[in-house]
Amino acid sequence: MLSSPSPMIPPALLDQLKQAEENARTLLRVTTSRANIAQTPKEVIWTLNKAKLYRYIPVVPAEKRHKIPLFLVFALMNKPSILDLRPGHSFIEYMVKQGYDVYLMDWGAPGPEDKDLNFDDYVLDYLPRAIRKVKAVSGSDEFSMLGWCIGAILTTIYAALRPDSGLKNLILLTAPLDFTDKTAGGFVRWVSDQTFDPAKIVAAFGNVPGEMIDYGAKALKPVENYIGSYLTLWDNLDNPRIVESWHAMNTWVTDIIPIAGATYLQLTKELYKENRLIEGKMVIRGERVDLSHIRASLLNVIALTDHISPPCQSESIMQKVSSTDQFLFKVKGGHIGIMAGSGAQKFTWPHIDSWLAERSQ
Amino acid sequence: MSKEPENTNNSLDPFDMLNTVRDSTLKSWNTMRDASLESWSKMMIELVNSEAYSKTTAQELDSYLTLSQPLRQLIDISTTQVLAKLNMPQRADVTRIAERLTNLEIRLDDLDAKLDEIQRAIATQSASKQAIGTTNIETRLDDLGARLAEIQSAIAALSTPKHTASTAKTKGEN
Repeated sequence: MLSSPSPMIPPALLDQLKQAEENARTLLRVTTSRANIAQTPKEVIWTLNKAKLYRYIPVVPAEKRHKIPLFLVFALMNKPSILDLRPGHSFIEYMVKQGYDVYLMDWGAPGPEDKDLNFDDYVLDYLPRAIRKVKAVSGSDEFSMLGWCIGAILTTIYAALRPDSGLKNLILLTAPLDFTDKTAGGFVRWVSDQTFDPAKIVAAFGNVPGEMIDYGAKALKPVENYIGSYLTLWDNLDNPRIVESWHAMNTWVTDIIPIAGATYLQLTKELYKENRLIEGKMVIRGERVDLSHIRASLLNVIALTDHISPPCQSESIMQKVSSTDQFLFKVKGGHIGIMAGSGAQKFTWPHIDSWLAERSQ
Repeated sequence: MSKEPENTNNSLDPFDMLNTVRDSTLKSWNTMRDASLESWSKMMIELVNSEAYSKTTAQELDSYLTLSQPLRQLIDISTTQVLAKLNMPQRADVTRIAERLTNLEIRLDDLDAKLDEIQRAIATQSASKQAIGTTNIETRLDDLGARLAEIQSAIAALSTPKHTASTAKTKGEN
């Protein structure tokens, strides 16, 4: 310990040693502990199997709140805590403060018994029931829905199959919907290979392990994810703001969950390989998913440097829907960065808020 | 670490001189490191996005899954046999129970929603009943008012010609 100064050590060196010791402690702490994420006060209002529906406690008086509730649907892999990363830097906290009645679907982690869950179940069993609860609790027959990544696929399918359910506004974030270009992005290339057989993976594992999905996502940018991220931390160990931000993000990134086998199979085969959704050939429990049935106001947010869902996978939906009120919003940034990066609070969130506010009366 | 050190060094102090040398070396090393990482990153991104990489990883994964299948099958069969001998529930049993639980949850959820609907309907009905109740009181008050007015006019009409009779009638009414 360097608490008692020695007359033999020059004060400048002592300061540097103290700083080095402090940095070592910080490094150990953030790489071996979990940050307190998802701190915005909430209550569970509905559950089904592993899924939970949260309602965030409003902070704005009822008379000043927006009338239409906002329902958030995150992807099936990774936890939705990225939407509520840490106090002062949370999309949910921000929207609650802007006067929205916010609800979040947490799909939970599927167990071996859930390996047969697929898009049909999520879209026609889980989403309608959760939405029914949102309507009952909010007292509103209309609602806005925001889907991110695979959550955007689910919300798009729902919006197409149930256009008369009261869906007023649909917000899609980095939505992987169109896989026409088989060279755009690593995922499409990998799964489009003739040798790649998703059925074999599902047969072997049941649910696809979170580690496998995590590897896939990180392998798209291996140097950034396996080395660059830690170097950023190392270079900024004396900057508490960056350290805490890194800690929170690392906590979320390492909190991986598996994806239900049948869902993975549908995602890779019917969407990535066969591109059924955008071509109007996808069938959910006997119903064809016709994107032209979508009439809700549409905000499509695209990340320009998205390596997971490249822009070309998200843009073409605009021509497929019947929504007369639609807006394509292109943001500089990556798949996660546009919503959880340092610029999100100044750029993406206010834009979503201003678009939604005038449509939530 | 990312901050530039403040230039408060004493050029005659050997320790400060060492610091200055260290800082400048570190800075140039960091610049070199960042540049090489950037080019390495670009190269790796190109590699993972290549057809050759897709083919190789797909083939490797396929061989792993094919080769490990007999072992997985063996483990599955032996686990099932051991559990059966120990009279313990097997994976299939747990899955069945989970499915039944989810079905029950779905039914409960539907019941819950129906109860919500009934509650809302009752609330609406009682609100409208209350409104009807208020209207009734108003109607009855109006009726009473009209009857009182009739009585008043009758009294006035009677009181003018026969004073005694009118008094008797008023008493009788009381």
